[in-house]
Amino acid sequence: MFESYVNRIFPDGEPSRMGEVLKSQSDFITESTWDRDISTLDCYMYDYKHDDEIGKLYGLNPKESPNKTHVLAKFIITQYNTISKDQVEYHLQFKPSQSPVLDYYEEDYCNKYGAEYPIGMYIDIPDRKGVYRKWIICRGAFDNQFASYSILPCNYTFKFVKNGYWYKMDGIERIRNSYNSGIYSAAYSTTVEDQDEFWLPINFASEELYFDDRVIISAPLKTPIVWSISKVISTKPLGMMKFVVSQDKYNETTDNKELLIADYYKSKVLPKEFKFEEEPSITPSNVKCVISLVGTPILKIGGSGKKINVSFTDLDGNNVDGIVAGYDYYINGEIVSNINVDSDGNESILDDDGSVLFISKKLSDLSIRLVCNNESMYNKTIKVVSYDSNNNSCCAEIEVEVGHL
Amino acid sequence: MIEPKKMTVEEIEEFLCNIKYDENDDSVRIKQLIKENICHDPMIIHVLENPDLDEDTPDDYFGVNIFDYIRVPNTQSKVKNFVTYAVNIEEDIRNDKMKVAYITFGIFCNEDSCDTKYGIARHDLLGYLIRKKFNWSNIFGTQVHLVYDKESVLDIDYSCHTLKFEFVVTNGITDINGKVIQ
Repeated sequence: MFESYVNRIFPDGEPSRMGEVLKSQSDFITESTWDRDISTLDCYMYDYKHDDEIGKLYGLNPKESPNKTHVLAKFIITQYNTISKDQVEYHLQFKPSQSPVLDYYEEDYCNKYGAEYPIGMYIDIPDRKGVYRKWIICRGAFDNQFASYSILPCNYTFKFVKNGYWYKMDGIERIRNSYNSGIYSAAYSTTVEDQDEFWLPINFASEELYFDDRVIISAPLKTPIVWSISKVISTKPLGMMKFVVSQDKYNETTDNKELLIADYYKSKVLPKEFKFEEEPSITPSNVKCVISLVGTPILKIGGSGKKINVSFTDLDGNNVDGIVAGYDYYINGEIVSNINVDSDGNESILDDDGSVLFISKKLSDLSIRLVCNNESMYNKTIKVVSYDSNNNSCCAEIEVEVGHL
Repeated sequence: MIEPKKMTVEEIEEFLCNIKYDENDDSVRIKQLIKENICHDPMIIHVLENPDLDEDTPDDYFGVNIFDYIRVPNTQSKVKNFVTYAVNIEEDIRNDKMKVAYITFGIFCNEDSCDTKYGIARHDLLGYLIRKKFNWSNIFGTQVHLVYDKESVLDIDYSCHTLKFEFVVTNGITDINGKVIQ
């Protein structure tokens, strides 16, 4: 009977010091009284990839989500809000017996970014009315006893354009005091001058944000406020990305006021909304096609051309050999059928009059170079769809804009 | 009252795109020739050393490592090297038929990238390649002479090599429509 009691309260073995005994007993009491504490809440934890309510910060419905993981935690108030200062942090304490619950964290965040569980994770926490709000775990706890984590509520959905996609990610806008007048006058002109700060959890999308990238952080005003990243901090602690931004000029020609996305119209090829389900299509043979190019997606008339590479990989990302890529071409969304192929496999894309619009030079079984010398192609878009030429399956596509050298 | 000529957006775009081929505007014409000559010089592209770009598509270096103005835009957060240039027609008019044009190349190399395996500092190497390409050439229609060749340092992190070429061009004796002005 005594042994079973000892095993129950000291699952890791009998302690050797009185302090350890008291610590174990404290955990035992915390554990035993957990459900009776009014600050104990049913929370749901997840990462950006498993966030199925991106863009929604309050009134979430995590209980219905298959991607969010249930955790029990105590919500601890550490300080109180005041309008004269930034949003204060709160603490979150997990049940002592609760082991890390996200099986993907170690591979996707510990191994990749050196982050420590569970920093950088979203957590849906119910408020006093039981309505769920989205928070981020921003800082770890290194206390030996009753470890608590600093959390902040998400207060803005950030949108940014990268690699032909526009991403949407919930994050935290922080106050950054700026004591200038908001404008800077030089000898001949006056420009805007202010600064701000925002935090995002580290992941494959937020790590793309870098110096000079522009974001709109603004209410949907007649003239939205645009910012340019001027400082990137990826530490303190690992798991969060912190960005300092300086105010930039709103550009009516390239910024999207309706969607609040900066640089949306910068290229003729508009960015697509990034969605996780838009993974490259997997064929029955479990081979997927990936198409890519180096540099900007602009094919310059009279220039050296644009090299396009194709690879076929299995589900683990290993290259599958022996596949020869075939290509379809679209100009401004319309498929091109008038193609002349020479003995080397180079394809000349012709218009109705037989004049060459552009050439697709075959460099290898898996790469081509588009070359354009026809002025009439200016301002048009060329979409290249690559596929497995053996069975016409397994497609991937990429689009380039035609510009001038 | 003269009615303004109505042009569609497409016509305006076409007109603007073709300006760079207009031989009557020296700044635009000379800059276009410089751009084409630098972008098609594999040695200059190679020495610029940008691992993010493909040397087989040198157009991509324009706007990243090569600029047609002497200024390095954007925040520099990576080690990069630059070739920049400007064209000036200064008030050294020799007569009403000819004038003097100057091309200034500003070569900026990051301090961490100055040393090369060729035993020559990168900004000097790029200076050599540009001098070799343009000096005594007739790329712009008349012979180009190097008149200024100076090494210096830029405000932050960069070693600089400035080259200035001088040559004589016709002094606007045709208008934009190709008519001869008396």
